[in-house]
Amino acid sequence: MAQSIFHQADSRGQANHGWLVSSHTFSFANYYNPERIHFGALRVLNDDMVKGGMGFGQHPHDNMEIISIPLEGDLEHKDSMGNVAVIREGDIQVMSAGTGIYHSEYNHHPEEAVKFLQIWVFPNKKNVSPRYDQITLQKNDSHNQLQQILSPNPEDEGVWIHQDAWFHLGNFDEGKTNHYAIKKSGNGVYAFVLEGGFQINGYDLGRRDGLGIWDIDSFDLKATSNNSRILLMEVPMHISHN
Amino acid sequence: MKKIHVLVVGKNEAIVELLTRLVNKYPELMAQGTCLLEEIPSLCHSNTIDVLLLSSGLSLDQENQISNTMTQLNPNLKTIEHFGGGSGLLLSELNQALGIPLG
Repeated sequence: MAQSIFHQADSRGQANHGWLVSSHTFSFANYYNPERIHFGALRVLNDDMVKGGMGFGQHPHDNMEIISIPLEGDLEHKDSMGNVAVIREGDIQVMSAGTGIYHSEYNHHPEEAVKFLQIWVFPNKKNVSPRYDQITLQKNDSHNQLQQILSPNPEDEGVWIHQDAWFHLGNFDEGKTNHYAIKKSGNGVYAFVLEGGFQINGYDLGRRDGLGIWDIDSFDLKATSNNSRILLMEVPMHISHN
Repeated sequence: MKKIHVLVVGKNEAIVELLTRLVNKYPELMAQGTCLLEEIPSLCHSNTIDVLLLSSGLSLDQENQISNTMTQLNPNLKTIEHFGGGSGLLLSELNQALGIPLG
């Protein structure tokens, strides 16, 4: 029988550091809610706003698959592997931290804010060699359909990570529907509404609401307003790694 | 107040140092870190370790061996398999393991 958990946007943990305003779907930093630690392999879903010219100085990561999706503005990335890049709205960046990587992230613009999602997924393999990648997504490919932006397969569409996870983005007109079939048995999907609204499995989701669904093979979604945008994150519900 | 003793073990020296420093920011905690597995017995004997924080670079066998050995010394040992390498998740993992909100 299908199981689900609904997270209303305003129930997320809030952090306001002045230069950084963040909403945490799951426990992170000073936000701790034992009922909200993770959704399967999805451990962090931070909805961040960084003021112009500000950012995260050099800091390390290890053993985590880190996905950044800019929603507005440009984010500048530098890392210990020599990568220097700017990721923009319409791009997706992935980092397998593995044995350890240092990086910094700054708002590329001196005045305007950058808004982005930072998503951390537990890897299915620990201590891999660190890697970095970014791609630009074709915006038309997500109009009234789901566009795959991440998978476990280097040859497949979008970026890839060390986990049996698939992410899709969709921009829908009001009333448009879509059917999502689970890629791997036992996985669940965390649906996060970026803009507008959707109906999924009897739930009405608004902007920045989240819905986790598992023990299902597929589900339908329906946009309830124009320019509705959704991110679907399919992840294993049981965490294992070697 | 009795401090909660934390031992950070991993293979990436810079990350172990950083995690140790981050843990020591909390007044309730006192951390030591090492990348040398052979140092662990002496560190365990100088203080009763309450929390083992496993950082990156260790094989599953090494993690199990360290955890089993230390659990024999302190059956109430809490083991945290640390992911992420940074402060955000670290605090959450400590809160979860200790059942008390730090900071």
